Amino acid sequence: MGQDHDHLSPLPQEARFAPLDEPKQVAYLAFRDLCQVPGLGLFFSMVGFAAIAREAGFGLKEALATSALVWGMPGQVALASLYLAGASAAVIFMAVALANMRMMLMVVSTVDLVGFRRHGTAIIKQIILMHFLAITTWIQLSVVRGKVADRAMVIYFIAFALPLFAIGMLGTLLGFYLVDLVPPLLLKAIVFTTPLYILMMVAKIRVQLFRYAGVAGGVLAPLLYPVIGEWAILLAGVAGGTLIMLPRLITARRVRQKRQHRVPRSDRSNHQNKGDQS
Amino acid sequence: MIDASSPYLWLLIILAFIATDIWRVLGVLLANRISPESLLMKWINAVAYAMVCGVMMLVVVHPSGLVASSSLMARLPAFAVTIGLMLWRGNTLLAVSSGALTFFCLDLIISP
Repeated sequence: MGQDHDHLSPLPQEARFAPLDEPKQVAYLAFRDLCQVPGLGLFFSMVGFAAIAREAGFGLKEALATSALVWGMPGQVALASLYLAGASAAVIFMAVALANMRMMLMVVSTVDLVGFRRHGTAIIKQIILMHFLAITTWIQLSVVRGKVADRAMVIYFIAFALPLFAIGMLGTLLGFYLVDLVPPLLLKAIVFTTPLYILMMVAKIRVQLFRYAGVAGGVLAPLLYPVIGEWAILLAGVAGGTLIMLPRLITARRVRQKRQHRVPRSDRSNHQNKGDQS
Repeated sequence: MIDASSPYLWLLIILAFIATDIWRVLGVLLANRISPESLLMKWINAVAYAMVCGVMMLVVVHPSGLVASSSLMARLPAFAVTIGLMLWRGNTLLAVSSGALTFFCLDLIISP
């Protein structure tokens, strides 16, 4: 998919060339993006979670605490469904840790995208802010990169992630009661939009390498799942990501070797280009 | 029905919190040690995208939770419609809502 049309968050044309960096404009953009599929999708995901949690025997307080403290759908679902199944605390801990492991990689990526290091943000502050990171936010940051100036990415993150958290709490709260009102078939369809949306967002990411990595992981995980169960996500991620990076890694090695042997400094960029094409 | 306000459930919630935020903390610590331009950073990003797409494709092919009660014959065509429209028109909102509508209609017909 070579085209980078962005119908989702219509911006003035000039924004493509001059990234936004005025705080108010950036916050407004974040708010506008939030009010479309991302906010709605997350709201209904949490409605769906509240349904599962209630079925599992959670009270409203417990469901809200789970959403607020875990703030990662796969782990939340694992907690509720394993609690219902009567699994031991150790099993639940491991299952949640496994389900939300990708959070570590998303955080690394986000810290880079937002540029905490450039800003010299204190580690403790980074940790607190990263608690509010959800898949939706991370994907949004990847797509918005370049449209928002690097130094304003923190503002975008805060203006997007914190209201999204509030929407998630509202979804959990209303979901607890809404479940009786919304026909199950309709709720199911709404919950199903989230995976479709996230997959399409990955397809829109400007870095081709990452799009291919997404395709590799997306193909591998369902194939591995019948064989190794929940571990399929971890293996598909590592195998898919490494597979896509392989040509890059080999090229980098070759370039380094060439450089060490006989390439003078001035010719370096030339050779690197050739290496990239191979 | 299990007692909703049992301290045991609260212990489990705290454990789930720790099991998730451990990764977040490790992520922050790791991110502050890796150079943003390094190949390692690119690899971590590639793995993250592959994992997230893996999780999402599992919802399409082997779902748990609410979606589990639907047929693959509803989910796969819905996914195909979404991809097709995305490639054809490049409009996320159109693609995703059409995919969801396809899923809803097929699920309505197929489910008992």
